[in-house]
Amino acid sequence: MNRETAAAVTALNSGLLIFLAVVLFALVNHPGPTATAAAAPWVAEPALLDDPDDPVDPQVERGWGVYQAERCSACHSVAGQGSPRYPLDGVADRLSAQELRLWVVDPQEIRPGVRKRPYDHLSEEEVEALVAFLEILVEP
Amino acid sequence: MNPLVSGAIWLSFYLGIVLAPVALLLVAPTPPGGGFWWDVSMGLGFAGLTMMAVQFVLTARFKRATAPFGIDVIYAFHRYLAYALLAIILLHPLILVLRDPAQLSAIITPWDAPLEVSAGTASLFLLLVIVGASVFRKPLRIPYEAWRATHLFLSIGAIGFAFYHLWGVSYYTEASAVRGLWVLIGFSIGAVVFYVRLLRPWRLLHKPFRVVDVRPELADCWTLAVEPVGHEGFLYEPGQFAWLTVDRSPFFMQEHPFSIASSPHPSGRLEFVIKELGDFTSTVGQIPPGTVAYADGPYGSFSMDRHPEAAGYVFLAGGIGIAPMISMLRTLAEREDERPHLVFTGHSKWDRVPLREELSDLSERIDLQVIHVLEEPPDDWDGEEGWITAEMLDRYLPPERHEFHYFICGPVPMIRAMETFLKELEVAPGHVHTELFDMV
Repeated sequence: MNRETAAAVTALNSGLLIFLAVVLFALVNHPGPTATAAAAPWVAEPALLDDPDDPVDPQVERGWGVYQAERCSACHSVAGQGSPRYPLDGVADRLSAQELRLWVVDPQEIRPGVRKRPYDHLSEEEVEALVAFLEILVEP
Repeated sequence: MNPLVSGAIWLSFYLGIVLAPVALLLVAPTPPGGGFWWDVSMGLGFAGLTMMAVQFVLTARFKRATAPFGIDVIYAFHRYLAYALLAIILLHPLILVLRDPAQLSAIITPWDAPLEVSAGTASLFLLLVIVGASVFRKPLRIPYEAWRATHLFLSIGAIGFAFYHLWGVSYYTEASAVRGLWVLIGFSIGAVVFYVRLLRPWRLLHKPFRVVDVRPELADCWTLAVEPVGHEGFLYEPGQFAWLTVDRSPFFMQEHPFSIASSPHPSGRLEFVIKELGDFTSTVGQIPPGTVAYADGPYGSFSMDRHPEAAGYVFLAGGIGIAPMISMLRTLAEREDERPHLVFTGHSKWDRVPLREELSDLSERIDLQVIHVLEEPPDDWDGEEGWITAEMLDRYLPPERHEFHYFICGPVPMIRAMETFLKELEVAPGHVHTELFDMV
């Protein structure tokens, strides 16, 4: 094997080894989120939104629409969907409607210095719909 | 130490550093895991960042660490690792997007995304530019000097953005041990860049050389001789190379790697044989004697002095690949070596064979057979024609060929062909030495 090939084989195998080590890390690291918002099973299965036997509150459905349109899942997760950095499962157990509203429109007010941008461009109706959606996120 | 053993030690060291931040997450208190694919993506991001960091160390030209392998192979390792790290870093956002397509918008509309996320996108973009410009430097006709400077600044930009991304997103970096490790990695890179780009040039500045001779050779080649001013120069093994800066401050990164063609001399004098190739090399003929120069060396493992037990040496040179060979041959002549040696050169025409007179003189001073192979020989040529072939080698090599050591230097296809031929002739791989001088 010539030296150039040796360098290539060593480098690419190192890359592969690093990938496998990371996979191993992911396997032994803590398991994924287990808390699921039983109140909003349609987060994981959007088809359930159209289930005639179990109608969804139109205000909550609208709030879910705002959540998606504002791409909240870039930083938050619901029922294991989205970024696990800041899970929202059970958020309604921890915060009141007023606190939820503040977290959306003026997070600095509720926790000064927090790294979260205010969603103050939302209309009153959109904020209320979003809060209505967040309010159903309770632990079973 | 055996290069294989020290290679294995360095490689485990490398993998240890790259995986340290990921491994530390398993012991440091961290937030709950984000599920298998999320964790794979995060782990790849962390490993990719440390791989980027170590890239700076690989090209820092640490003489002692690279000595067993030859620095040319470390540069090749740096180049191939770039592909591996690019794949790993591309997988990091790709997995996130496959896992949750909503994340895609943050990447394709970075002006709309949080700053720390866009920093990651910027880092990835710079990385693609860096790798693209390096792989396609020649087809894109990017001058070496311009490539070199932008390569450094873009790389610093890419790792800077990546650190901002890590710090801003700060997922899995809350634990103080993890934070501390990242700070350490960041500062180490800063220290390496400081050492390579400021401290080493500053040291070179205090060990200047002066151009003492510039003389034309055949085939658009020039011999450039420099002598140390106010210091002793450096010792080198015949066949090694140095990075040469002429008429520029060493801080400006206008240096070029050249094989040293002279034999080691007590005065510290260095000679380089440089072929005009359209860039800096085409200006060598106009350099006036007295011009200040800086030589950073020696580097490389391409030397007969690493294999003194050989029954003799065979030098296979294509084009300007003769430069490191002439250093070894001049040294053998000075040492009045009595072993048999052979030189094969491959060239287009007879008047394109640099140093042919000197090779002829050397063949009278030591037991040296010179075989010139010409693609377009003159009418009265009674030597070898075409390219160097396995059959030709077989014909000239003496029966004790397996105790010889072989040095190959030339264009990449020529090196590959010679390696194949020597393998066919059952020469042990450990007896075949190459110089990968075509770095970018």
